[in-house]
Amino acid sequence: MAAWMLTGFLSFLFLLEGTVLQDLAPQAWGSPFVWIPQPVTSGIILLSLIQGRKAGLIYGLCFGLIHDLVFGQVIGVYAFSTAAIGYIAGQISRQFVSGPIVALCATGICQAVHLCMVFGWYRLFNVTQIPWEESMIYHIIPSVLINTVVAYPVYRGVRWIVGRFHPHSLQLFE
Amino acid sequence: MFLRLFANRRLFVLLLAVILLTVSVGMTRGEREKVTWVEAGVKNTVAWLSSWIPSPSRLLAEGSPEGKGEEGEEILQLKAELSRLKQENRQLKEAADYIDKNKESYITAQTVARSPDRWNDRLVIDKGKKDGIQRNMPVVTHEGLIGRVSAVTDQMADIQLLTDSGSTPGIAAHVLAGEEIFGLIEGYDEKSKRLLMKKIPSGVQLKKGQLVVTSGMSEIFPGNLLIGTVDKVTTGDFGVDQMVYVKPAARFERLQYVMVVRDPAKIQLKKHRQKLDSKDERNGGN
Repeated sequence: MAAWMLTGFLSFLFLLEGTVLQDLAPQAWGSPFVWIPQPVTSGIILLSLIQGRKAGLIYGLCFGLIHDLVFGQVIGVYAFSTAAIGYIAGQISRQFVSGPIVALCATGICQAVHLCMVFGWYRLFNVTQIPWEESMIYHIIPSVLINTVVAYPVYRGVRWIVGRFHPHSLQLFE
Repeated sequence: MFLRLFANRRLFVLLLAVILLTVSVGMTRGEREKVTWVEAGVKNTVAWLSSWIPSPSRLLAEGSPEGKGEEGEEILQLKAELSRLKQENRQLKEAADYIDKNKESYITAQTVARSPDRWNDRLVIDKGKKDGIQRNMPVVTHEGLIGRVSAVTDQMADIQLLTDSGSTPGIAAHVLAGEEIFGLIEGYDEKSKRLLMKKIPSGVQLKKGQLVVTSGMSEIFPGNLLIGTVDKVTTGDFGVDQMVYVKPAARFERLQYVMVVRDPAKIQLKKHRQKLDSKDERNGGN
């Protein structure tokens, strides 16, 4: 049941990524800074922090693959990167005691790694030709900052769902 | 040595994943004629679901109704609906005005979603093969050219925007400067927000503000679709040609309604070419 709820929640966030959040992002209003909205990735990272690396890996792979199929020019980049970041987040969650602030910091770091990884693959396969300094300053850094802030409601959502069905795993988390 | 590698299962899985990634990217990148039914299914489902989510710019356009103390809920709703329809009507009229001036037929479609990252700038629209859209058709707004159809399923189509930062097949274009000067639109400079028009002969004199349109000589694009205006002229990559920074006429920030240009002549040409190609193959086989 929790799995269905989480899938539904993440799918809803996925739909928001392509539609509503596109209109709210600064680039839609003419700003040179680009926010790449990634609440789904935040959700997967947070889920992985709470439920462990296996959940992160599976959800990451599925949602990454959907992202690739819907928006991608090539299939596999997001599937690999999101699955990898889900796994890494699950791995580091064992290293510290966690609360909301620590969880958000971890999300920020993982988001940065994820975006760098995606950009790296895109550069490698020549999907994009933007120089990396430019993409760092205008795309990745603003995206990480905004995504970390947006991750808070996602954190509440994931926690609520997990807490409702598996209160035990949440106790371990705190 | 090999056994030790297999003993570390995680490393092995990681290696396998990287290999799988490389293979799948290698297979799917570049120009593909068709999308598989699995991809088509996922694309259609997501496009259909996304079309149910109202976009905030449409909601903003409705404006905030005033004097809510007096009016009932229903009247407010009707007012909101009316202003929404007005806005839609205005946009569609602008589009229709544009249509009257051109002879090709236009398929008006609504944007459903846009790819979140700008490294791979795609748009998903709610019209597909059954509405007559084919691959490589140009896509315009009432302001000018914005891209081309990169993949199409029965119910939806993917548009690769001109602002896509990857390598795209160039678009044959003319600068209208008394005579028509030929060049290729290849790439987009994100910093200055200009399209790059390359391979222009070095002898010609170009001025700021001259119009750039698509060339009718191209096999896939109809001619005379407005792309933008000349902004800055520099020397090209090879030193023997000129490169022009073209200021795009269309805005790419918020794209709500787009039009796919259907040029009967080019479709005929494509069919003819396919027929010729298949004939060649048969002859080659014999």
